[in-house]
Amino acid sequence: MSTPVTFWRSVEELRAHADRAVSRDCLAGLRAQGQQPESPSRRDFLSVAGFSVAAAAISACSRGAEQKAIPFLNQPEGMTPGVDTWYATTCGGCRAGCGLLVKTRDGRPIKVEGNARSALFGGGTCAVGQATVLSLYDGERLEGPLWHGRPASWTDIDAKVEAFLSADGARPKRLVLLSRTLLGPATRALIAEWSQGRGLRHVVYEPISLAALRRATLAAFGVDAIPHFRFGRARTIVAIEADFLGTWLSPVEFTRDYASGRRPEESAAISRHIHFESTLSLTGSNADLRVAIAPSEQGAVALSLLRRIARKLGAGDPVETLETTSAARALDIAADDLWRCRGESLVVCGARDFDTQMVVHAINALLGNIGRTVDVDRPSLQHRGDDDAMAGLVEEMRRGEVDALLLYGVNPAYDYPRADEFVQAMKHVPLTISLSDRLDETAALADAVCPDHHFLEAWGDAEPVASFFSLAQPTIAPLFDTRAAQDSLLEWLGRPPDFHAYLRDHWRRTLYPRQQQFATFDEFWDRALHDGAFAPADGATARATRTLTGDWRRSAARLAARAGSVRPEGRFEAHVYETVAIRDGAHANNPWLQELPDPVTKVTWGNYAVVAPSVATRLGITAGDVVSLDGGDIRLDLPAWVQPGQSPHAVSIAVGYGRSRAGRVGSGLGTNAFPLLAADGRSPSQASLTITRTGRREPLAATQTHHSMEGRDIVRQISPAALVDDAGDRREADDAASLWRARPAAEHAWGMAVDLNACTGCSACVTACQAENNVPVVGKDEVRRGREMHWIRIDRYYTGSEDDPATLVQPMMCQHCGHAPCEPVCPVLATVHSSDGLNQQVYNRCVGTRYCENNCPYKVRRFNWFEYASNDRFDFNMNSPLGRMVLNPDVTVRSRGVMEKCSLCVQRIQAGKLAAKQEGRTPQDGDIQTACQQVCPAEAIVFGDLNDPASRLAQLAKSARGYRVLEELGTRPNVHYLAKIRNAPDGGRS
Amino acid sequence: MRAAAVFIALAAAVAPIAVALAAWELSRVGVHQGYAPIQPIAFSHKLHAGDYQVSCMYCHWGARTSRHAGIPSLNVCMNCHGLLTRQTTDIERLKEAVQQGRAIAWTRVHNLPDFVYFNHSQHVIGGVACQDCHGPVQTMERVRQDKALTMGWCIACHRARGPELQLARQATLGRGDPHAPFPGLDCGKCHF
Repeated sequence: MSTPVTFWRSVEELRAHADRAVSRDCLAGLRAQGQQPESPSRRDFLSVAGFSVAAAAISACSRGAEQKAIPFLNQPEGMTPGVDTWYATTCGGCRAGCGLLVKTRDGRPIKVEGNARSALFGGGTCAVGQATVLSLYDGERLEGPLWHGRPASWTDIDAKVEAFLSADGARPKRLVLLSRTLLGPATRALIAEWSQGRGLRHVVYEPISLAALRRATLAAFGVDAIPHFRFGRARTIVAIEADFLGTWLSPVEFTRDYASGRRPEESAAISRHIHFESTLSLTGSNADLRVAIAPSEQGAVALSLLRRIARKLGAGDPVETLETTSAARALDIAADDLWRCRGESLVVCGARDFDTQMVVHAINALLGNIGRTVDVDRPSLQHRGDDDAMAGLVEEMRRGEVDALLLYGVNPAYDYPRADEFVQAMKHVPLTISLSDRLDETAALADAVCPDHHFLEAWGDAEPVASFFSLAQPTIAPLFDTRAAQDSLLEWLGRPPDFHAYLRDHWRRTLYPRQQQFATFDEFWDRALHDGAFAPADGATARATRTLTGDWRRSAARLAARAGSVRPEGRFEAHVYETVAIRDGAHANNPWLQELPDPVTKVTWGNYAVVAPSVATRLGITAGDVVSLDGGDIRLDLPAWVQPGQSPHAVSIAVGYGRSRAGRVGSGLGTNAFPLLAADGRSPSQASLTITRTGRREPLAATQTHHSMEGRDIVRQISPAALVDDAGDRREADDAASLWRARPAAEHAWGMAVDLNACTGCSACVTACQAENNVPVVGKDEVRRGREMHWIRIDRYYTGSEDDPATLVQPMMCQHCGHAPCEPVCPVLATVHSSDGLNQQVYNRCVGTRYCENNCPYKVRRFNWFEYASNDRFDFNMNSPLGRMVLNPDVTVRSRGVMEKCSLCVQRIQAGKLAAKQEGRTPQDGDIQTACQQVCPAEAIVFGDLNDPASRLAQLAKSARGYRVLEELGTRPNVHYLAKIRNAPDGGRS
Repeated sequence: MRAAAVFIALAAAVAPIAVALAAWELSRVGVHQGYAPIQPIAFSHKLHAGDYQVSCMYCHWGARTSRHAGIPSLNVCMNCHGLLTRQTTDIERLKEAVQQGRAIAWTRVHNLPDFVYFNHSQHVIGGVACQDCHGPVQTMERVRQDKALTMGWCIACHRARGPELQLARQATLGRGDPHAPFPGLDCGKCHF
């Protein structure tokens, strides 16, 4: 930290550049001259400001600080300082197990990208995946193992554990491993060895569980797994409370597949998406037709859909009952579309209820979707949580029937709905060992904490979908004295703690024989490590039946019996959901994710109670009013948020907040909503809450409070019919006469196209840009003042009525205008236009007048109001040497008083041009990808050279759907947008 | 009165000199031309690069592929000194460091501010010789910063030689508009 300086005004500038540009000699020299009055009088100032003193002081400053350059002792082969090295691995951010390519520079990972070679996931990632590179450098990570809260050595802990396990040898110990879904076959094999050798029982616990779906799939098709849903093969998609583009099951894969069915340039047919849900989710906001339902109506909606499909089959009503749902018209349309596209349709449901899932399976089966859009032959292995087993475990623990409990990747003391019960039950377990990487709520109660590596430091494998395998390899040597969880398990099993060897051996025995391409195992292994993914050609693994078994009729009858129950007056159903950024709260300490505006509400840094506008009016609530949600045995106080499209019968609260031991960034933010899941153990639809105002206010930090386009044509939406009619009709605003002289044409003309039809609003691009360009985190207070620093933002607009709006999203970044309003107004020419079409921001020239920000019609320029790096006031990732390891060395870290904005990843453009130059050629289309383009799972952003007629950008710029935002102002932006296509039924719905 | 008049006359004589001196000093803030720090091991480029004609790229191999030319790791030094028997104080220091597993902390001579992006490989591939920017290193006993390395100095060369290098490259590729502006003069080329 810089030392405080007393009087010299120019030295303040030196202070802002802390320990680099300022010579400590210089400051010492000034202080030594003894010129330190308390408050200098004018006479003192003049005497000190004498030129002779100035010259002496400044000449002493001209040397600058001495810098050391320390090379390796022995240079590792294959690594050049300043050149990136890429490793293929598998993401551990959530359970989906997407393939990754991790960019490391000088031995440390700084950016995460998807693995374009992955057949399942492609090159995109989600926002959480992007943020995992920062969680590697989290200061909350434990630096070594703990025993009863005090640091211990691995040998000590191993000795204690082994002593416990072998003590009292007559009776075998009852050991339980409580873990999250483990995707790795090798890890599962290791646990199987524990089960056989030591009688270990493995319970899989997921706080947001899909156990009902798995049980229903077992009952219906004989497969103990969740089906693999193929959205790319579906021309009609009906979803009931399933946020499959945002948080449900495998959002990156589903987004990629979903977007592939909605590209009019590639196929004539656009898919139709109908959505039933209680709160406006990311996925629901993309639907062509969306209906708000209460959570308790999920079953009724599924049942009504089943009846309609059954009627189309002429099968008669499977259940005799009256219609009880209000979504009748939407259900008619859904049924018609599903029937029309049978075999190419898909119904998915996120309800945590067995009967509803059985009915949905029945619908898919009747439509002939099984084996086509619903794959049960190669099912998904991404969620294997077992709620019954977990409840049973807690009971056994309470009765003292568990001797040792290993906790791996779980935090039930926080996220178990009846967390108090779990905490009490833990006390009856003689030995508890947590493998958590930090001292979270559960680890703080454990006897031993044996911290696992971060997934970027560890070996592993994954099988997210049956017969689709991927590897995980370390991208950096472990930063702390942590040990791989599998190594710990091997050690305690009495085996050498080398999971790398175990993993290789497992692949040699099980997967190497399943391929014919490589003659030796080492060749196969090297190729698998290089590619990241391996899919043996030998077909299905699950013996599935495509005909529906199981008594789905009984499920339908049970749903019918439940439907029509009267909701108490003045009470609301609790609806608990995951946000795209925070998910189940495991990443609560990640500042990038906390500051990521929620794709729908645009609120950051906390959760809130989402209420419908009609409810808000009736109860006199505005956004930010703290309300009390009272459900009898549970009471939560949190600020309210008024959300268009919210079901008037439900109040929605996001989980993942209210953590007490997340770390400096995440602790104490928001309110814990997991207890709301406890009402009937799983589904929250039975919880019944009252909402009362407390009179307190807690303003929320929302990045977008303005939702109107003010009559301007900013986001455009068309129907598929209009696309055909209007082909070829494009206004060319550039033909208008201009006051500016034309610029000479250069070799390249960089531009971008954003397909609003493919963009779902997932905001992965926002985090990718933050990671790539060293964009600082500013914290909740500054976000409230509108000072968030994201270079790209997703604007979200509503059209239609308040209760039932349609949503439009638009990624907005610097438009790199040909006639940029920001350029002529800079008094120091800090923002100029490059020869190849970029609007450049020169940080070192900027003096911070902010005239450019004022003039920008798109409001994409961000100002550094404070020194965000190395500043205790902004104690996020840039305030510690560990956190700063994530910074991209190719991009300047901006200081206070400087304007910044999207540069179209000029560092990547330079690198791409240089790579082409090194190979003696010009850059080809696709060589250079901006960070936002690279990360997008839907491939909605396309960067390219407008001068290259063969480039994808040039084709898209000529599209009939294409337009530029506010082009009537004459700014001539180089970013083109392709209008969203709303495939609404009847061609209507604005 | 008289004393005051004398004082004013003296001040009027001294002031312009002081102003000129201050202006010159201010313009040299951050310019380290002539900086020749003492290094932990007195490595002589005159001996190695001059007399023995070891190529720049043998040690500073990063310059062709990376933005940093780099300082060689000790195993590069030991490629020769592991075999040679000649012993001096500096060679002893080198071998001690290798034996103790300690990397050498050289004092960096050429350094640009954080807001400047300089990429060696771009220039090396582009046909700029090492001596053009680093001066006659093969004559230096102790490395000194020979040129000013100010932005004006960089731009002067970009203006003088850039277009010609671009034309040469266009000739090699067989394409390109000879009248196209030279991108090397864009601000964003080095400041991003």
